[in-house]
Amino acid sequence: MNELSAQQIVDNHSAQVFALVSRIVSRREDAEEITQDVLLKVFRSIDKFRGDSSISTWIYRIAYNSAISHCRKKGIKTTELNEQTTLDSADGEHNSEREAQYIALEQAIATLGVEDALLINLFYYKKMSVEELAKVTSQSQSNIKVRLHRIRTKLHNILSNGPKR
Amino acid sequence: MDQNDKIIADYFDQLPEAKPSRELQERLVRLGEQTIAERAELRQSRSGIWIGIASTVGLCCIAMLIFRYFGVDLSAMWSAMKIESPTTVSMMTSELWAWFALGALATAMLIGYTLLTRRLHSDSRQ
Repeated sequence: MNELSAQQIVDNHSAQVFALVSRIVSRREDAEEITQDVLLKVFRSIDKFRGDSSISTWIYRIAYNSAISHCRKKGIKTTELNEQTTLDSADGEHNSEREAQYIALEQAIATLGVEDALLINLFYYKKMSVEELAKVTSQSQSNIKVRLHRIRTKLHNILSNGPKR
Repeated sequence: MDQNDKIIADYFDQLPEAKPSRELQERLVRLGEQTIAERAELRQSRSGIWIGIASTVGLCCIAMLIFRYFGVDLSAMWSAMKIESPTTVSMMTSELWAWFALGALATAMLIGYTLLTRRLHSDSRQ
């Protein structure tokens, strides 16, 4: 994979990594720090990339692990991200029922741990399959299915019962 | 997909996508170029060390084979240098000579392979 230049890697992948980690941490500086950490790891080990999976999956795997370790180290919880996203959804042209549902989802996602928040974002936002998620998280597909089911059940319950205010 | 699942999917779709700043991207490119260059240098110096070790071992093996070809009495050489002759020298069996030949061959192959891959690397970079 030595033919990939730093410019190509940054152009093709930095935005994806930044967008994902921005959904987990609220402070832009934290998102930039994690993105830089991820890209540095990619540059250092690009010659070891064997091509077992797509380069995108490989980079998401590094991003997943780096985001978790960064949040644990700095004691960041997913709760912190919700101030911004709640405002964004409230600003949109949604009807009040939809807004209430989105606020309910914000609250539900806020209660998830970093790992689950990353998983649900990769599934819904990045549209990753269970197989890809298993590669990114280094877990079995059945484990991913169980985790996703648990998270979705939690979100469904919140949607059915309405937001807790 | 049930209604609740659709709401969840729509929720994730409508969230704004954060974009990295131009400054961050430029910094990442600079860091990337620097890191990739450092890694390449490290690889080169590592392969240089291996070539050095392999060359030394290979030259020793070749020297031994030359001595063997010209029938040099190694025990006498050691004695002439007033150094106690190692037992292996006085016990040069044909099996041991074969090991030296194999060592010389392996070294030649290792050096050849390293030089070839280094050449291919530099060609692909150009």
